[in-house]
Amino acid sequence: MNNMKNIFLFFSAAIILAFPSNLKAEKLFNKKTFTLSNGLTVIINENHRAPIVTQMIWYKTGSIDDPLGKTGTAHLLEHLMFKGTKSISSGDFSKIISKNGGKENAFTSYNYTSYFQNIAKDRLELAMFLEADRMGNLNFSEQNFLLEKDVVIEERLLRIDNDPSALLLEQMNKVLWGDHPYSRPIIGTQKDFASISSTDIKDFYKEHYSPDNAILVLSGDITIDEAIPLVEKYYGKIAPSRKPLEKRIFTAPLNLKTEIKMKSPIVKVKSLTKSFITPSFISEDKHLAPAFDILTEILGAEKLGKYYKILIESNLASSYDCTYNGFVEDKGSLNISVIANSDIDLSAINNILEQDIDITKADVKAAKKRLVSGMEYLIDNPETTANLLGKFAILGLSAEYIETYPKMIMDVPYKQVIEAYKLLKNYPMITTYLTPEGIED
Amino acid sequence: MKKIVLICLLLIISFFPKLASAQYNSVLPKIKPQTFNVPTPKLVKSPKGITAWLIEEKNTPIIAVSIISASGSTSDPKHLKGLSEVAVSLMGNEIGNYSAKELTSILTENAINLSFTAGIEHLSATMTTSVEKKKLAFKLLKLALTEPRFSRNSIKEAKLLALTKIKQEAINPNTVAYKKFMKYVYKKHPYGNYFASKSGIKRINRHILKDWVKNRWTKDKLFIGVVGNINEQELSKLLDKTFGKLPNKSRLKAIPDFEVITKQNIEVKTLKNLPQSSAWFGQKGVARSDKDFFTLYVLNQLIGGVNLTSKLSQSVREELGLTYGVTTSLFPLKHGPIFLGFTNSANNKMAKTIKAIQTQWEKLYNEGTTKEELEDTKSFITGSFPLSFISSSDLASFLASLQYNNEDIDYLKTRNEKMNAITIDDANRVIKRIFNPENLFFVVVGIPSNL
Repeated sequence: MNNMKNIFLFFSAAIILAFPSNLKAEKLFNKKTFTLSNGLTVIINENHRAPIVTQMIWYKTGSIDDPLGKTGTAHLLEHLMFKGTKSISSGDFSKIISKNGGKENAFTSYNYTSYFQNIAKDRLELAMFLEADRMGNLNFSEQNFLLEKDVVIEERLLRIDNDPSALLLEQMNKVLWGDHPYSRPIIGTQKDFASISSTDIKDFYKEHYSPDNAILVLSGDITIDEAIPLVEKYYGKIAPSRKPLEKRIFTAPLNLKTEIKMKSPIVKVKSLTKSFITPSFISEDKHLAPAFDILTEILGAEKLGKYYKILIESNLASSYDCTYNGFVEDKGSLNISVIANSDIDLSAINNILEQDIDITKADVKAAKKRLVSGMEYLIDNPETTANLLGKFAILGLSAEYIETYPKMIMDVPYKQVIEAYKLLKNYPMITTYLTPEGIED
Repeated sequence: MKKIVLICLLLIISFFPKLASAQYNSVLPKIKPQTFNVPTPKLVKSPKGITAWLIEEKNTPIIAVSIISASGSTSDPKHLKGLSEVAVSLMGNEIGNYSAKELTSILTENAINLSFTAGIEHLSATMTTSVEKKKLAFKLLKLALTEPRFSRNSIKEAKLLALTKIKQEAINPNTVAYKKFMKYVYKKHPYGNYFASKSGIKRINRHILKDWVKNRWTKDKLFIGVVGNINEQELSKLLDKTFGKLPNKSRLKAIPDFEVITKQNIEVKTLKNLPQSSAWFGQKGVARSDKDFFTLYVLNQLIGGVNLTSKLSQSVREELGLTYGVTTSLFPLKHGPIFLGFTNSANNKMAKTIKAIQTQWEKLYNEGTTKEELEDTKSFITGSFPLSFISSSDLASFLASLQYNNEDIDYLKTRNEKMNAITIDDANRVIKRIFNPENLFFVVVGIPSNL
C-alpha cells in the first residue's frame, strides 16, 4: 500500500547504487547546496524533464533516538505530523496536497525521518508553506494521538505480528545488536506503545524537529534562483532550537556467533538467514565498505552470484538473497536469506554457507563492472534523486561523495575484497532457522 | 554540467482547481497556475504492418519499450494453472545461444533491462536501454520473444520457486482472502481459477512452454509503446526486425463473459495463529469500454482511492483507528468487471471495520456525493496527471495500455477534459448503478471475532 506511511525495515534498508563506468569528469547530479542562517541545509537538483518537483524534508532523527522503554516514538510522531498545526486542522495537510494533485508519503528509519510530496511545479509554494508550518507549529489533539496509536498498532500487526519471519527477524536483531539501538524495532513494540504519552511525542518533536537538524531537498523542475526566495520565505523564519548534542556513542555489540531456531505452526517453507555486523560507509572502518559492496555482489547477484550455483542450480534452495546495508550510521550489516527446498535440511544449507568460497580476480572485476552500470535510470525520476541525495546528506556524507562512489568502487584492490571476506568471519554473526512445526531440522 | 535527463515533455493541465479550501484563503500562499503542453504520440507503422505508439524525446539518453500481449493467466488450460507465471519467469532467462549467466552479465554490464510479467488477462514485456546499446537491446528482446531456450535445469528451478510461492501465499491472509473472494464471485469461470496450482506447476514441461510462447506472443495480440530517443524511421525498421517473425495469429480460445452477481454477505475462512484478519470486498463494476468508466474512476478515488483523504480512509482509519489501510480499486476485467476493496484489522476489530465500510457504502448510496467532494477529487485526478510522466518506462507502459484498452491516440490530450466533464448528476447516477449496499460482498480470512 503505497499511500501509507512507510517504515524502512531492516532488510529493505540497503540502497542499491549503480553508476556508469563511462562517467569520467562529468557530474552525475545537477545539484547545488546552500544553508539558511537558521541552519537549514538545502539541496537543489535540477531535472526539467516534466513540470514536477519533489519536496523532501529529512530530519536527523529516527528510532535510535526513541527514549528507553518507548520504542516507536519517532515513528508515531511521523504519523502525527499529519494531524494538524496551529493554523491547519488535522488531516487538512493531506487534503490540500491532494486537491492540488500532489502525492505524498513519509518514512522513519533508524537514523532519519523523511516526508515528501511530488507536486506540479506551480503548486510547490503551497507544499512548502505546509511543510515549513509543521516543522515549527505541530499541534495535535489527545484524541487524535490515541486514534493514531491504534492505527500504528494495526500497522505493526500487519507488518510484524502477522508474519512469523518478521517476528523472528525482530528477535534476531535483539540478540545480534544487544545494547545497540539497532536492536530495537523501528515500529516499536506493543508493550511500549502503552507507555508512550502525547507529552513524550511533543517532547521528542521539540528536541529533534528544527531547521538546524534538517535537510531540505528540492528535486525536479526548479532552479536555485527560483528556490532561494521561496525557501527563505517559508523556512527562513523558523528559529533554530536544537541544543548542542553530545556525539552519539553507540554500545558496541558483543562479538557473538550464535543462532536462534523457531518453529511456527503456520509456516510451510523452511528458511534460514545469516546476519553479520560489518563496517558501514560512515563507521570508523569505512574504508572497507566499498569492498563489502563488491563482496555482496559477488556472493549475491541474481543468477551470477556464487550462491546461485551452489544453492539454486543444485536445487537445494528455491531462492536466496544477499544484501549489504552500508548506508547507516555506525555499523552496517550483511544479510543472507535462503528458502530451502522441502527435502533439504537447513543445517545442510548452513554448512554450505559456512564453507569458504573461492573468489577470483575475474569475479571482482565483473562485480565492479556490474555495480557501476546503469546510472541513466537513477536520475530519471526526481523522487529517486531526492531520496538518494537526502539520504547521503543526512548521514553526513559530503556533497561530492555521491560523485566519487563509482571511482571508489573501481579502485578497490582485489586483496581488499579477499580481506573483507576473511574479516566477515570474525564479525558478530547470527543464524536463524524458521521451520514448520512438526518438521525436524 | 551534463543534463542527463532533459526531455521537453510538456503537459497540459487544462483545468485548474480551486487551489485550497476557502477556510485557509488568508493563510495559504496564492498560486499562479501555469499551462503545460501534453505530447501526442505518433502512430508508427512498419512495412510488415507492426504498429506502435511513439513519444520521441530527443534529449534523453534512454529508450523505453513496453509490450502488452492480450492473454494472461486466465488463458492457462485448467490442468496447467501457473503456466504463464512460470513461463514469464523463464523468458528473459536463457535465449538464443546465451546461457542464463551470459545473458545476465550482458544485460547488467550494458544496463539493459528486460523483464516479463503475467497478469490476469494480459502479459507484459518491458525493455529499457541507453541509446548507445539500442541495437543489442532490440536484438535481445527479439530473441527473448522468439528463441527462449527453456533448458531442463532452468525449468526445474522455476517450478521449485513457483511451488515455494504457493506455500508462502497459503499463510498470507491477504492472498488467501483474495483467492477465496475471486472463487466465490466467479465460481468456475477462469477469473475465479487462474491461480497457480501444485498439480499445474508439476505438469509443465519444455514442450508445453514452447507451445505457450508461440500462442501467447502473436502479432494479433500485441500492443507496443515506445518512449525516448528514437525516431519514426528507425523504430519502424526495428519493429520489423524485432517482431516481424512472430506468428500472425494465436489459437487461444476466447474467455467467456461472466455476469457478476453478489449479495450482501460475509464469508469467513479461518486461518489460525494470526492476530490480524484480512478482508476483500466488492460487487459488480464496469468495463473500460463502459460509458460510465471515467465516472467510476473518479468515484473510486473519492471512496477508497490512494490518498488518506478518501471516504473510507477518513472514516475507518482516521476517525475510528480500526485499520492501517483501506483501499478500493476498479478491476475492469474485460469479461466480467468488478469493483474491489481491501483492508486489514485486528481479529477483534474486523467486525467493526466491516460495519464501518458498510455504513460508508450505505451513506454514499442513499445520499450521493456533493459537488464539492466531486470537484476536490477531480482536481486531484487532473492535477496529479503530470506525475504519471515521471519516468520514461512508466510512460511507455501507459502508451501500451492505452492501445490495449482501445483508447484513441489523442487520449493524453483529452483525458483531463473527460474527467472535468463529469457532472454531479453523472456521479450520483453511477453511485446508484454501482454502490448498492445490498450487493456488497465480503470475504474475511483470519479468526475474526463476532463474524
